Amino acid sequence: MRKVYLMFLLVFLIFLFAGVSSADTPQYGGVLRRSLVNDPPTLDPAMITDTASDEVARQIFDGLVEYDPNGKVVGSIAKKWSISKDGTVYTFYLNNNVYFHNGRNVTAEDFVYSIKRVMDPKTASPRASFAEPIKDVVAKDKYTLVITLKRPFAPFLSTLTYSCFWVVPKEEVEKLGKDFATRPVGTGAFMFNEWKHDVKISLKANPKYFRGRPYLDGIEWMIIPDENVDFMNFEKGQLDVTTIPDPEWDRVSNDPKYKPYILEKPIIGIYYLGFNVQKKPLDNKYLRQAIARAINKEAIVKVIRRNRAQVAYTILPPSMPGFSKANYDWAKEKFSYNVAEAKKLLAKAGYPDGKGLPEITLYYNSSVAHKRIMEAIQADLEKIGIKAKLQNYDWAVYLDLLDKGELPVYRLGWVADYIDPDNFLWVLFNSANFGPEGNHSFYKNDKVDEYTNKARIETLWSVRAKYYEMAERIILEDCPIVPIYYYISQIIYQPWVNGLYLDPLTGISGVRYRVVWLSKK
Amino acid sequence: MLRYIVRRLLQAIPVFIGVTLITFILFFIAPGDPARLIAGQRADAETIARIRSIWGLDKPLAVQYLLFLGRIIRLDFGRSFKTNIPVIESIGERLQATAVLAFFAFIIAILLGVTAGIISAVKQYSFFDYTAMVIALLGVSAPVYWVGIILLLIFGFKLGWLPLGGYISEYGIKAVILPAITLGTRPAAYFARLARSSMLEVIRQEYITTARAKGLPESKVIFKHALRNALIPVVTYAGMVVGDLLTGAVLTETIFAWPGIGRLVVQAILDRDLPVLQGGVIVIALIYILANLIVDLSYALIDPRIRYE
Repeated sequence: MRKVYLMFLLVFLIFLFAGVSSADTPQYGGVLRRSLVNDPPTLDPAMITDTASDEVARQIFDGLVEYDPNGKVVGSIAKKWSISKDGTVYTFYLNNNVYFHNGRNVTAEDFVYSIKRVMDPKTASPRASFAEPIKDVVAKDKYTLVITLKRPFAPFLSTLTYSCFWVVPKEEVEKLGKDFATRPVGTGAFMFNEWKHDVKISLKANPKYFRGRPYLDGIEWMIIPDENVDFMNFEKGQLDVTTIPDPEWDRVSNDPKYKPYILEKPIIGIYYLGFNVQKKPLDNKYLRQAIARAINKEAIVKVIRRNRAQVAYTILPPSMPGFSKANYDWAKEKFSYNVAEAKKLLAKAGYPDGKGLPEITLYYNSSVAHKRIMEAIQADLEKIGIKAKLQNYDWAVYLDLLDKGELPVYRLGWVADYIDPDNFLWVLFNSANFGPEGNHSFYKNDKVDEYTNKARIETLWSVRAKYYEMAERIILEDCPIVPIYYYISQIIYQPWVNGLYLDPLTGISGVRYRVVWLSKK
Repeated sequence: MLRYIVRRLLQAIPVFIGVTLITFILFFIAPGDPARLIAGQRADAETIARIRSIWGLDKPLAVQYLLFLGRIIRLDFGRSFKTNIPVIESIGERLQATAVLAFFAFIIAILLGVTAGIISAVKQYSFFDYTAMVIALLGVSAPVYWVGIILLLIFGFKLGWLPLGGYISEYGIKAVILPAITLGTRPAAYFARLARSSMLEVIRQEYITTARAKGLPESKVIFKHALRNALIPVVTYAGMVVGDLLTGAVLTETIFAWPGIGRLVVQAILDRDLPVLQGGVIVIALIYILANLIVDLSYALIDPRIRYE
């Protein structure tokens, strides 16, 4: 009799655990439905510069290393690596069980080919500059790759997470030619399935993925250009994950039905107002400081962005290594909104109450969101006596004018390509990078040049961090840009989506869906 | 007749060259470098120069134009700067989608518009007449974007009868209903007003009075004698509607995620994607020319006095 009880107990326990596990342990199956605003221009890793392409291609390809959800560099195809003492030789030991979607085993030679392809001028990769520090790349043996740098370059490992360094199979690239961009073959958890241009793209699970088959059977991206229609699709349950349009934010974020399913995360980027410091009258530091002090950032974030961003004072966002609390406090003290102080600075600049200052133009690229913010800044400037008008251009024209230094006051945003202060402070403020290369302020300060150059080749993090802190302080004081806010990424998902996270760099477009699973198919 | 068609088609050649030349020149006058756009927000000068040379953007304007004309003769529109996909392929796919949408929109516009217009004219100052004309006024004034979103909200979102945008390949013929109504609304309203005034003019003519005096039944008077003549301005306008449909298609295609040529061309302008823009413009010009040709030919069917020599 006791045995029978025990049996019952055992069966009961099994059911109990089975019940628990079905809710908490990942399940296989189902297709995740997403949307994109545009058809991605390309799925060839060497050619990607936009987030739509990046989101899709990220599921199909892998690189040597990748970021984990916390922004730490971890191994991907490389299971481990070592860096020579002088910081110029990187040796990567590859996993030997990685296969391209065509079935061929991935070896070190494939990385040699893929990296050299980006460096080859014939490829015309828009990201060739990322490979600039590389002197040579060789396969030491079948699964050992050695990359030699021209000089030590501290952020190198971080840059290797970038899409242009993902591995591609030579035979497919050569066979398909330009069509490789629309029929990609990689090593990732998902394989290319179908692409109807401007309609949808679908991927299917790679059963032989080296880290095990993903939970999802596939992913489908519908191309939906209108954000309102996109959100209607989500509310109807036709999409599993999407972003929330600004006008819907208050309603959605206060709805108990949706509230538990909103994910938020700061991403490493800033929205700012830039000045061309070589152009009159913005070559005047006090005038720039007066403008910085006159802008009510809190109001912009609260009223216009509906708190969907975080007020910025520094250039490096808080989630970036090297972020300095000291600099933040200092800048907040010196540049927070204060009309009286702004007026004093304006007088110091030689324009008391704006007298003698010609009307300035605030430039922005066409978008309602930017326009609202520029209007707020315009009104703020008016309060201290600066007359400003607004002017906008399409992105193509805007970039061109920025490169040529023709916009004295402009709005811009910058989101990190790789998680390293170098990508902000060196790219945007080193005088080697005037114009298209990132320094649209045409800012030059010998100390900043020196610190950001030294930090590039220094390998000891504590020393680098000090250089960046000193450089950032000088830049903040000189005011070539006014940080407005740090970006926050937000998405909403359906209750049946599990395992979702936001990438610290790019939010939703940086997610690898191999860890996501659905509790409803 | 055949000679007329051939002559009309030959006349299209200078139109083509003019259209390509103007697009080409405008493209180069407008600021915004396609190579810069391909390279993204941050790029070194070397990379930009390399992209420019690969796409031949560093050659003199005249050389680029001649190369382009040379390719056109071989029916090669090149590849998109941005996506690298052959332009002819992109246009082929998108044109098909726009044609389907425009066809249904056109049918809706004609059926609804002309019928309402004729009835309004015959029953002038009746309740139907007033209602139809108020609706037509609304139809002319309502922005395409607004109409589209409202239709989606009602029939797609609240009632759930029709898909929330998307193409036929995904949702079947259901997908075309709302976009076609959205796109057809404005021309339908024009057709209604045009058909009404034209019909009113015709039924006041003496030969109609004569027909009535002969004791013909009213239906025969309207359909056999009045309608044909009343339709001539409608047919002329029908040719112009093609243009309306193509421009309206840009917005409609955006709201309904319809993979058409309107969206393609607008995106090409924003991306400074010259090959796609050129191809798109040529195709659209061709459509206009064909539409006008068809209108001219259909006059003969409606009005036997017109002959082509």
